[in-house]
Amino acid sequence: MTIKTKLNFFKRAAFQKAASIVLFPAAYLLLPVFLTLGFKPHHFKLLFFFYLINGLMVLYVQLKNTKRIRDLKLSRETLEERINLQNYQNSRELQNKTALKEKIRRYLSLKQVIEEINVSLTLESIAEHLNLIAFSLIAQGHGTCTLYLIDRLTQNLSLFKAKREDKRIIIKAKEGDIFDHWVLRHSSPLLIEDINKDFRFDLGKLQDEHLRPFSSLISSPLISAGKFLGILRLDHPQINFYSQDDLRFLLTICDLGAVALENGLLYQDTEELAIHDGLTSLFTKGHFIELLKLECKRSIRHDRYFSLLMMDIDYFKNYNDKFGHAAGDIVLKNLSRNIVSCLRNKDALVCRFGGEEFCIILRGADKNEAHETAELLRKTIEETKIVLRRQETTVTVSIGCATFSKDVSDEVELIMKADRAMYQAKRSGRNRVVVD
Amino acid sequence: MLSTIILIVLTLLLYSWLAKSWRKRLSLEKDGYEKSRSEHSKLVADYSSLQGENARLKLELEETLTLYDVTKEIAKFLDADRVFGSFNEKINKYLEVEVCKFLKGDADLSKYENYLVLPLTIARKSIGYLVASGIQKRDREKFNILAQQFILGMKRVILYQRVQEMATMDSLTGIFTRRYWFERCNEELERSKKFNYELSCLMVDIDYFKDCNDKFGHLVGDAVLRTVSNTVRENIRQIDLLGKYGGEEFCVILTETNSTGAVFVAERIRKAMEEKSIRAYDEDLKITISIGISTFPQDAEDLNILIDKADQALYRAKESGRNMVCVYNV
Repeated sequence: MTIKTKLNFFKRAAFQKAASIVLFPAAYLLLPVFLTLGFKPHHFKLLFFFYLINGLMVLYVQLKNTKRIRDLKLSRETLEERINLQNYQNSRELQNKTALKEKIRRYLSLKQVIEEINVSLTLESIAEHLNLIAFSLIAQGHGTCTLYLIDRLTQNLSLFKAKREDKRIIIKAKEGDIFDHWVLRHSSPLLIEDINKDFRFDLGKLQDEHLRPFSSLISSPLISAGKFLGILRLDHPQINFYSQDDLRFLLTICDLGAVALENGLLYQDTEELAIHDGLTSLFTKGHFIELLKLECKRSIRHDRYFSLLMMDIDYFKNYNDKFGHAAGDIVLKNLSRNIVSCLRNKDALVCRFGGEEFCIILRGADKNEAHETAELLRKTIEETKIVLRRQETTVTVSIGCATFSKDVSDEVELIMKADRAMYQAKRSGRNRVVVD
Repeated sequence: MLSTIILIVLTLLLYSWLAKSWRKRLSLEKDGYEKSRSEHSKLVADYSSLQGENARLKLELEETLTLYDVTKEIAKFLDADRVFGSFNEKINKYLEVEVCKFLKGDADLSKYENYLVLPLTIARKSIGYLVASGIQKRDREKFNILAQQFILGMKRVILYQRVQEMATMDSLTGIFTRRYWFERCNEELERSKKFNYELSCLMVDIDYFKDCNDKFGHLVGDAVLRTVSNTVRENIRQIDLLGKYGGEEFCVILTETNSTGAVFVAERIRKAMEEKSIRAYDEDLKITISIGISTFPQDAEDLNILIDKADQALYRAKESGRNMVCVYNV
């Protein structure tokens, strides 16, 4: 389209508009006057009615339609308002949705974590995992996350694991601060949005303990079947960093974590018990055999002597009958303490081999030295008095000695030899040492 | 006449022109209104669908949350069958499953080819397998969450039993573990039968221990337990057998002791406890104990019955006001 035709189009449009605005009303006003140009009263009336009716009609249509338009506009405005409101509500609901999805995702990802925890049984790795989940899933790697465990001896809290955003931060409260003690004391979880506004805690005390800045924290106890195991805690320098939902998630982690930690502790116990006898704290048979095997190999490699003593308490059954079985335990405890103190200056490994049997490795001892040591042991035991029910008694032992040398092939043969020597000692009257 | 007709026609023309021009404006307005209205109704529909979705998600979240509550439930038990029972109950509550079994030890897995198999290992040694079949794909996730918790709980049971079997001493109170104590007691009872000795059983219970635990927390509770076990130990002979019986009860077997002797010992323990106080944060706690006594052979010949009768005497002591000693056969 050229500029000229465009101009033409404008002219035409303008002309039409002018015609509709100027020409039509002009014609409308002039035509009736022209038609009634007879100046008869009858025509006057007609003209008057015509204008009256037309005027009223225009007025009516005008009023009616402006009202309708105003109503429409009004209702549209209210509608717009509602749309805005709805938009806001929708966006909030959408936020809710993403938050919910995030929460579900968080809980589902927890599953993988239990799987990982289930693989290992050492306290170290379980604690590491727990700390990592709390730190990454709740705090997204911000702030500080600490795990305290109860020390079994002192029953105090002790810092076990810590994760922190700022690597320079040093956690000074190794035994926990006032907040940890609160959790400990109440055995219940804690959420603080702003520590400066929480009247429960005396911040003056805190200042002495802390150099690490934090304003909000969540903390939950680790309790498994009524046993308080520790505390898992998150804190952050910003206020209102943690929500109620975060605390709830932490609680779930702690429920699972407490059982996992208990497993770790129990496993530690089984490991410990597999090595040391519960009653006498001497090595157990299983562990002792391992040590003996190792000693045999070493002895061959370094061409070194070592001897094995097999010791059995004389008439232990009669003793049990006379004084009771608890007394038997006391005797065993006393005897083992006696053996250990007697061999303190020697390179020796002592084991409780069976009910009332003990086994001793004497490193670097040849036949003569082993005999001397065994004799010393026998004498010491014979002379040591045990007081039970205000009665003094003594026990005696029979000892068999065997030395590992080139003609002994392995640990089984060595044990057999020592055992045979011990039986020899029993047969020839007890309370004596027999060397193989 | 003609002019009248023309005037009427003119009137009509005016009306139609007016109506037409207004209709244009009106329809413009109406279009805008309709547009807004459809936008609004779309938003409302969106909102309700979002709400529905969120409600569903909330339900899903709650369900996932309750799935994790299983650990708490399972951790109450220290018995393998009950742990599995509790787990099985939960499995059937939350999802559909045809078969779900726990196979102990080195079970033959060839029979369970099409099953979902989860191994339970402790220190790389296989302890058992959880096998299940007929689980819908949508339930897999749930099953996994539950199963992992079951494995966690089962490990606890197995490890606990192991420690109990291996240990002779309780790590908290330093007294005999239940299993070891029972063995020793039975041996002692046999010995008493053989030599015609009398033997007494004391059941010691801490008064209002639960309240104390609730009020001061578990650590104070543990301290109370230790104090009581120490007090009991200080007031019995070396050869008497002290064991922990249940959570807050201690049981003592007094060898070669008749009922009169047992009452004397029990009174001594009770008084000693009365005089002690336990430091709990900023308060001094006063703890009292109640004691029930039964004696072999007049009350019972069997250890379990003997303990049971001591427990009945203890119950009487509690009923009649606590901090006292009661003998079964009086």
